[in-house]
Amino acid sequence: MLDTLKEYFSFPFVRYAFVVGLLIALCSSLLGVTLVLKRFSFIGDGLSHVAFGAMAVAAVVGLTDRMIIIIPVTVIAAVLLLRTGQNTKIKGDAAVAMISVGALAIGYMLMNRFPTSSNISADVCSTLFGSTSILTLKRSDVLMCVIMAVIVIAVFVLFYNKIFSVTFDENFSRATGIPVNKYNLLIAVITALIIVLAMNLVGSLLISALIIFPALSAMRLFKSFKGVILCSAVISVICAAVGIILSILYSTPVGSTIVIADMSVFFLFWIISAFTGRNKT
Amino acid sequence: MKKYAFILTACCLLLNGCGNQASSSSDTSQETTQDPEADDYFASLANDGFDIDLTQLNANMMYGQIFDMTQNPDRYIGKTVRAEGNFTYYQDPAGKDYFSVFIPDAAACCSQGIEFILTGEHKYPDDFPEPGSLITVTGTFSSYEEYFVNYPQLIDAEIVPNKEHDE
Amino acid sequence: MSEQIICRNAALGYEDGIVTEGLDFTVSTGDYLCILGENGSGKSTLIKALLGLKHQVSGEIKWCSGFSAGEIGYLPQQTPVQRDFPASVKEIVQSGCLSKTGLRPFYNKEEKKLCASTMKLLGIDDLADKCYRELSGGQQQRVLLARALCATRKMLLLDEPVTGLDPKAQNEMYELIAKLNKQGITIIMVSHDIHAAVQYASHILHISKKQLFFGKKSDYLKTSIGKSFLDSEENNHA
Repeated sequence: MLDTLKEYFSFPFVRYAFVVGLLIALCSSLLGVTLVLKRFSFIGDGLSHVAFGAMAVAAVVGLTDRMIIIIPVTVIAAVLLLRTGQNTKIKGDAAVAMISVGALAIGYMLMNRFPTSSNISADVCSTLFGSTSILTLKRSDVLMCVIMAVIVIAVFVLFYNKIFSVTFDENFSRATGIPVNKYNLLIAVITALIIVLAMNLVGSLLISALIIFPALSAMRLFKSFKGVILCSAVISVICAAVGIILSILYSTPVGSTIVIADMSVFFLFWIISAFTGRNKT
Repeated sequence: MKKYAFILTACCLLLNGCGNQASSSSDTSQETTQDPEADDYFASLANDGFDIDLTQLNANMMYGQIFDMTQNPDRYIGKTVRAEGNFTYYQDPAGKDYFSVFIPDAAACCSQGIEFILTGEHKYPDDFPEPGSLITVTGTFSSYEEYFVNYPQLIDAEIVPNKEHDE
Repeated sequence: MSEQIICRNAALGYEDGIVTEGLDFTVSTGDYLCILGENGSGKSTLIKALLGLKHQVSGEIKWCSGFSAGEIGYLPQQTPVQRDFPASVKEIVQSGCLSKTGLRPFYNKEEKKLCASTMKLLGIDDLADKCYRELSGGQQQRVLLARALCATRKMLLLDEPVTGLDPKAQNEMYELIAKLNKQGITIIMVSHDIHAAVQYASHILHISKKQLFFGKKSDYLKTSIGKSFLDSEENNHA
């Protein structure tokens, strides 16, 4: 099996997939903790659908570099969702549902009525579930992903303390003169970037899992914010690595395999925390 | 603080690692350094006397491999290929016949086709299998451009008996 | 005694209506001002105004002698998110120093020292590595108080600081606040606990839709508003 694996890793597209997969997993886990704690998980879900819609538009327009449309549309949606999410809770929820389902419907309609390739179901399927699209990355995709990952990680490290404060207590942060809304905006924009990236890896329907599971697992066992972030990053990267390797070896869908690996870790941590009694839940 | 430093260095290492890979495309000086890897790669692909034996790959790998062949045809031109999949036939409005072998991926939703042109004279449908039936095709890889899109193609192709499957 | 905040005939509210008006009071260094009022009397709006997060509709609110709204140490009410938040005590206290860091991404030595000394002052230095969500309510409030003190040593604004605490923890909290006040920190406490106000505060501001009273505690107790509020609260407790 190791030989097979070694052999497979001589394939350039396998190596691309591995690098991109791990970077995406790392980025998504960093922000995941904040999103879960701020009760923003739903924004991630909504945005992934928006990204799907944007992808469909890009495909129909026939752009070779679809990111030109997907990134700005998703970022704008992130900003809008955050705005509405802040006003009143119910309205915000409804807005997210509205935008996400709307984008999904429009996306599918476009792909269906204006097919750009002979195989619509394949296109839809691979955008929604990732399928094997991680194995079809081009060099330019890899470069793009690396640049975005650097931006996300750099922003996160540089603003780590501010993100913590804004996550823990917006009121206090605001009172001490921290521009909370700007940081919320920053978080939303980075979330949008991550979701666009992660669409390659697991498809837009499974992105939320990639963002949420590592954070929830880490929160079971760790007591400090830093501990939770580091742990969720490690979980996410390991699960992505295991998921990609397994899916290559056993020819399973990449996205689902990674998400199932994440779920397994969650249940493992849940059981450990139940036995050690470190958590009241 | 130490932990941040660790994260940062880890990131840098990661980025360096893949930055090299990603940027090596245009640089000719790096082309040579890539050769041993490329040798490994083609060694893995070769089997049974074929340069690229797709039948030995599992569905995911096959999918990625065919996609790569579509994207970077130059790398594969002239190589002998063996592929297994479902036979499909298509006639365009101009009356030109297209024969191809369709290969489904693991999720069974993203199949890809490779067109093939058999050697010698063959007539459809007499000399061809039923559309949809499992066939194995061998041939030499080439590609052609139509409406700015590259299509992979097997020339001098033959339909050969299917391999025995263990499963 | 130098004035820190002067409020002159200020009215607060939103575009579609005034919440509270006729606010006319002064806060000076070392004061212990207790803001009393029923729910919906405009207390939370007043807090936002004092923190500089909300502009008055009319009148004037002035921060004096080099003192600014950003220099108020704020102890907000706890949110449900916080009760289940995975963070160590140290991380939370340190976040009080955030406004001092500016664009610098990390805390420097002085800020860490300040956190350590503040935690010692409030008797929570042994909890530094504990998880916030595993602390008792009283301990959690102390942590948030320490964070506020890291932000400033000039003035503390406490929003219902004893809500949800058991009587013993409530007393401890009040004593702690009184101790800080004796060290020269100005205290503004928003509360509906008139007994604590009467016991600890030096000044009382009683608001409803408008300002009902502002002045020294001893004067407040002589007014009819003070007496009736005290009585009604006693009846509520009985």
